[in-house]
This record gives sequence, C-alpha cells and structure tokens, in this order.
Amino acid sequence: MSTVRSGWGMPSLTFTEALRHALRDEMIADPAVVLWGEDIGRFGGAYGVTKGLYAEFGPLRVRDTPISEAAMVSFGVGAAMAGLRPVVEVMFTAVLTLATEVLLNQAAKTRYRTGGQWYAPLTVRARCGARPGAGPVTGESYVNVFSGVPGLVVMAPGTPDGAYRLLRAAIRSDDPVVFLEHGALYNTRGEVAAEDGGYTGQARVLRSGRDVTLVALTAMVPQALAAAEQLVAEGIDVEVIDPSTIFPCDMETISGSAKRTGRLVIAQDWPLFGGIAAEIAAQVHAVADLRVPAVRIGPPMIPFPSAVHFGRSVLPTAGSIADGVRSVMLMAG
Amino acid sequence: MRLPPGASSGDQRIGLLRTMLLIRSFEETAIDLTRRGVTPADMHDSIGQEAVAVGVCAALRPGDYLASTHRCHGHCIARGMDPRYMLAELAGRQQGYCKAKGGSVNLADRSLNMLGGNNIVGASVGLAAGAALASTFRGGGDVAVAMTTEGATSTGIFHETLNLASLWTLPVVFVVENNQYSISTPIRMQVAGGNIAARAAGYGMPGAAVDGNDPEAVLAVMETAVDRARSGGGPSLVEARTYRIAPHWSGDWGGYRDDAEVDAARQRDPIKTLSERLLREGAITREVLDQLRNDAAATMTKAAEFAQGSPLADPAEMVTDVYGTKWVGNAVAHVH
Repeated sequence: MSTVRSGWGMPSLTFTEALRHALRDEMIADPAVVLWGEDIGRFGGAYGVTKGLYAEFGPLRVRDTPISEAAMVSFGVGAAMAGLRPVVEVMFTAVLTLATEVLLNQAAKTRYRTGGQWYAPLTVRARCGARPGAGPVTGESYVNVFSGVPGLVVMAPGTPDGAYRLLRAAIRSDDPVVFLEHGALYNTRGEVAAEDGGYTGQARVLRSGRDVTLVALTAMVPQALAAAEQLVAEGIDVEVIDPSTIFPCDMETISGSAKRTGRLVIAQDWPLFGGIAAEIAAQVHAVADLRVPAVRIGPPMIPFPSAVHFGRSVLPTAGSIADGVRSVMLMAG
Repeated sequence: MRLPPGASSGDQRIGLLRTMLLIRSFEETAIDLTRRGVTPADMHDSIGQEAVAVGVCAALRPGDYLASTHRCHGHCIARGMDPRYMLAELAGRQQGYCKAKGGSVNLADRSLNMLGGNNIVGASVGLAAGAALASTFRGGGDVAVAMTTEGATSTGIFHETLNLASLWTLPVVFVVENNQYSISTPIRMQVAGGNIAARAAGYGMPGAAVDGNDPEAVLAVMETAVDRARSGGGPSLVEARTYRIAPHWSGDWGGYRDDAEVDAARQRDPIKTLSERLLREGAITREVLDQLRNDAAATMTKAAEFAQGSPLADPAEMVTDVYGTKWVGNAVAHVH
C-alpha cells in the first residue's frame, strides 16, 4: 500500500483536483498505473481531470486514443491481465455503453471464468449525470446498465474526499471498477483526508441523525446535506449516507441506520425503475421494521429533456428532497 | 520411435503431426463424452483445423500470450495444456482448469500465458492487444497472438483493435482462422471484397494469406510475423485459410452446405495430407504413423478416465473467484 503523497496536508480540494491527486499519487507509487483515453494527454481531458499528468509522466503512461471505446476498454482488460493497472477514461456514460460487451462479458468475468487464474485490475472512469441543458443522451447516467453484474464494481463517490480515496482504492484493487464521476460534482469543494488504504466498499455516514435515514447517490449528496440543514429548524434530525460504492453496496451500514431511525428515503438523479434505490429499499425492508414504507426520490421515467427549464423541473433538489423527508415524517407510524 | 532413413532427427513435421493427432483424438473423445452425457452438449470442435493451431503455437515461446476463441480446444492442446484437466473442466470436475466455472469456451492456463478461449466472437483481439501493450512496458520482447475467426473481421472491436494496435505499434499478431463459415453463413456473405488479408493494408500493417491446412506453411508465416512483433515492428494480420469440417457446434442441424463440399474438404484434411506427404517422402513409416495415432489415443483414453473418475466440483467452489477484494457489500447468496 502506498504512503506516497503529493506533499499536501488536509486542504480543501475540488472533486476534480481530488481525482487528479489520486491518479498522480497512484502513478508515483506504482509504475504499472497507465492512463489512456480521448484527449487526456496535452489537453488534460474533456473535464480537465488529467491536466498536468502528461507533462509529468510522458506519452507512454498518459496516452490519447482515437474514438474506440470498445478497444480502449478491451485493451484495458488484456493489459490488466498481463500486469498493468490501466485507468481508462471514457468521456461519459452514454458512450461507455459502446464498451458494454467488454465490461460485462470480459472485465467482469475474467477471474471467475478462468477459475481465478487471471484477473483484471482495471479502472474505467466516466462522467455520469444529468444537468439542465444536457439532453437525452449526454444527460443519461445508465448506472443500471453497469450495476449488478457479479464481478464488476461500480463506484460513484459523492464528495471530493470520497473521490480521492475511492479512486486510489479502485486502482489498487485487483477487480475491474467502473468509476462514475458525476459532472455536477466536479467543481464541488471539500476537505480531503489522508488515504488510509482501508476502503473496501464501506458506505459513508456524512451526517449522523436520529429521525430518518437519507441515502443520497452521487450528486444528490450536496443536495441531501443542504436538505438536512434546512430541516434542523423543523426539529427533524436527518442521517445522511453516501453509499459511495453502488455495487456491491454496503447494505449493512444502510440497514443498520434504517433500523435505528425507522424511516428511509433514497435520492438519485436518474430514473427510478430498478437500480440501486429500488435495491436498497427492497433489501432494507427485508431486514428492518420500518415505521413507514421507504420513499424513493428521482426523475420520472422519461429520457432527460434538453430544455433547461425541463431539466430543472425533473431533477431532485435540496427542496424536493426535504419535502420527501417531511412526507415520511408525517406518515402514520 | 525409430526414424526411417531420409528423415532428420529433428524433423519438425513429425512433431507437428503428433500434436495434430492429439488434437484430433481430443476432439473425438470430447464429442463422444458429449454424446454420452458426461459433458454438456454445447461444444465447438475443431476437426479439420488442426494445422492452424499447431503452426501458430510452434512459433511461440513460453512468455508469449495467446488469446483464443469459442473453438479453442486445438489452440489449448497446441499450446501445451493438459488434456486431462481440459476434459475435467468440460465435465464439471474440481480439477478442471477453470474449477468448473468456465467450461469448454473459457479454457485457460496462466502458466502457459494462455489467456483463455472466449464466448464472444472478436473479443480475443482486444485482449491480446492489451497483453501486448503490457509487454512493451516490461521489455523482453514477449508478443501476443490473437486467434480469431473470419466472422470476427466484421465486428466493430476487430476494426477498432487493429487500428489502435497499429497506431501504437503493439507486438501482436492477429491470426484469422478462416474456416469459411459462421454457423450457416458462408464467407461470401460476410466479407465484402472477399479478401481478409488485404484488409491489413487499411490498418497500416502487413497481411498475409496462408494455406491453413499446411502446418509448415502456417509456421513459416507466423515466424515472420512474430519476429516482426518481437523486434518492435508492430502488428501483422495472418489469414489462415482452412475449412470447418466440423459442425459449428454439437447441436448444429446443418442443411446449409452441400455434402460434396464437405467431402472435398475432407480430402484436404491436414492430418491426411501431411501423413501422406511424409510417407511419400520416406520421412515416416506406416508403423511409426500408427504408433503416433496409438499414442494420441492412449493419451486421450487416460484423460477421459481421469476426467470421469475425478470428483465433481464442490458447490462451495461456485461462490469463489467473483472478486479479489472482500467488498463489504458482497454477500454472495448460497444456492440451495
């Protein structure tokens, strides 16, 4: 486990900076860590995450690719099997779908189908998430497409601290990880603590509370924390949990919290059918006697509309999340 | 085995023939086991295509990587995998190469740098190119070989991979085993322009077509391609032209090609062809040929006995090798 650091203490970093530090620290610690993706070299990546890494590590370890998502990820699986730790950047999840075969059939199954002889320590990073103005393709997250495939890990941290620790853990893990970076989080800022090497998928309790368990997926984390602050004045004490890893998901932490509070609200910003929010609700209900049924907050089952005012109206906000919490507090039970 | 006059003691053709005979015997044994219900019905045998496997693998050294297809048994044998543990895998035994979790199409052996067969047509090319990329960081000149099919040349991943492997000058050889059919679809309905080797030029790499039923010819072309890759000259495309005497898979109900066409292909059977050539040239005698056949059959008899006699994999095995890290969220449910 690496203890190499970039020489900073506990600064406040943006999510983007935290990712960049994680990549850099892993590349310093381990020469097997190699990056490739579209425009990640001199350009620094479509979202600026890899800025400076090409200058520092050179063109063999930071490579620009043509538009070839399936090959980019497939080379990643093969190179990982043969001893590298590739970190492949795919621009956004809508085009990550071009590598779906490779992720689901190749990356996820390498260890199992070879009886443990080969494995694929590959990390695939992609921006996910809707924002007003994005539209029906770039505004999709497709988290469900990649989650729930045995052998594949899906991470989606909600804070800069999570971004740093989880990306380092993803790279260091011997399992293939789809690492989702919600676009709305890139410019959020937070304190980033030292990376302690102990991360194995634990959900993060960001705010302790007594009355209701509020599970927030990726970009809903800042909204959930803001909602919790709003509700203090109404005497509602909200426990906010960031699962951080969507699959496999730390249900024990979430269930434990829900058993104590008796109320569960889950917020995500992609359409609600199936997927992690439904899974959490089902699993918690199976083990916990909740006072009221779990509530899931999310956009309707429509493609994400491009008009800015449409987008604003369908995405959950701190206000709509607070309303959801108020509704479970008001329910009989 | 005493060699007749006229044959050099190092006659590589006898070695190639020996391995082809073992592949043939393996496939016949495996087919028999499926008919008797010892192994599952779904199996893709490579009878008639043995020369490609032996010619390719004879060009490799131990550190080189090999990625294969759904029709992988011959490639596995030619690379040196043990027929006992191959059949054990097909038969769901604990001592199968993949601990009974991969089956016929996923046979792999890390100790031989054999990355495995693959269900997905075309998948092998990207994996091999990735392994080749890793080799460039290590130095030492190991190359990767992707066995693939003429059907794969129509896939997107084939196009993407050859383009990028060429741009990055990767030490990889793409071997297209053109057996003329993808299930029922003949090559004239698959490959626009009809010439797979010619596509190499479009990817900025050398391409060569070779008689895939002549293991020496395959070996010669492979040696050139492997040397090129090993010395930093980048990838090559080799189109080995053969014929799928076998059905596509054990459940194939046929009806899409003439018996006359298949019979004509049997006359070009690589084992038949090489045996007759060696006999004609006095490089081998009939006794020696029979002995080689018997050796292969004896190996496979023992392998089948081993597979059938070894224990079925334990259910506890089923829930292992999903992940390497013990993720806290990964509670694997047991099946009752």
